[in-house]
Amino acid sequence: MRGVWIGTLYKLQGGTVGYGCNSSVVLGRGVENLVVSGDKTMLWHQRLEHIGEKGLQIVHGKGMVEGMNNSSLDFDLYENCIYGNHNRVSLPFGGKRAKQILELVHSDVFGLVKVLSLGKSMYYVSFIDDFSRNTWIYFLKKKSEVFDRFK
Amino acid sequence: MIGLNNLSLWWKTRKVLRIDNGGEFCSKEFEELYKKCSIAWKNTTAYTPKKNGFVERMNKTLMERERSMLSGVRFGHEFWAKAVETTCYPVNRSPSSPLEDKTPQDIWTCKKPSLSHMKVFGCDAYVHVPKEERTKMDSKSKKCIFIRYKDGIKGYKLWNPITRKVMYN
Repeated sequence: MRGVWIGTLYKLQGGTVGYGCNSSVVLGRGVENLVVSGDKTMLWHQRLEHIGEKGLQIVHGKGMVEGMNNSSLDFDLYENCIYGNHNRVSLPFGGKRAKQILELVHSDVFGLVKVLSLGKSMYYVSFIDDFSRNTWIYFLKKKSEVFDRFK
Repeated sequence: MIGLNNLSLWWKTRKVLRIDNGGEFCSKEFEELYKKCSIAWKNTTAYTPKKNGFVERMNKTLMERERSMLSGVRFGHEFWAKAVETTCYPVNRSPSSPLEDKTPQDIWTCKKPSLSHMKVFGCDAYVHVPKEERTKMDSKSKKCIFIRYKDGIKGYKLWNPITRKVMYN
């Protein structure tokens, strides 16, 4: 890597593409062409504040901006974006239905409701029979009362 | 009461309780009861209410109806529990698409539910005062507000706005 002596410092002419949070992106004019395609994609990804793959492809492919080279894009996994964008896969629909009453009972405690009811309850526990879809609801003042209701 | 304990006497098939890993369902008391009644319980992983979607969807239905009910009447928010309780009653007696438009109550009791006694939540109700509880000059009726159905019997739970008390009729 070359450097130009300016005053008491050597200013680097090369480029660094930052993969970590703290690594800086220093690129001199014309140096972009020297960087391999994958790194360049990453550089633009970072310059555009972590734009998504699709967005970058549109910006690049349709020539919407000036100053971006026309060479191909090469996307790679970028660790910081995993930390920032990690999502859960949506759950598949399904599960077995019960064939008989009370074979499967779904249950949940709802609350805390901040407004006390007339009977001073803040929660309710619901039991739903999977086969008949019959619902029972019992109101609770404390979550610990669930057991008494369940009995 | 759901009475799973009693029902288990005649009901010998495998029963499963689907719960959401909440601490309230995982106590030692519960585990003993599960074993005693041979109930298998299936916990979902923590913070995934989606896996307990069945109940959560019902909660949504109940709370949505509760909001509509309370906005339609002159009650304050403290009536939420009454409204939810009242909602549950017609929900069990309304057709459900997964049941091919049968009603839950029909499947549960093998009997067609009757809706002849249904009333509108928050409507005025005039309650007859028995002879023993009034003098000759007192009015023979009291004005109350209907809040819910009484379990088991064809009776009503009413709210007396003057005494701020619940009464049954």
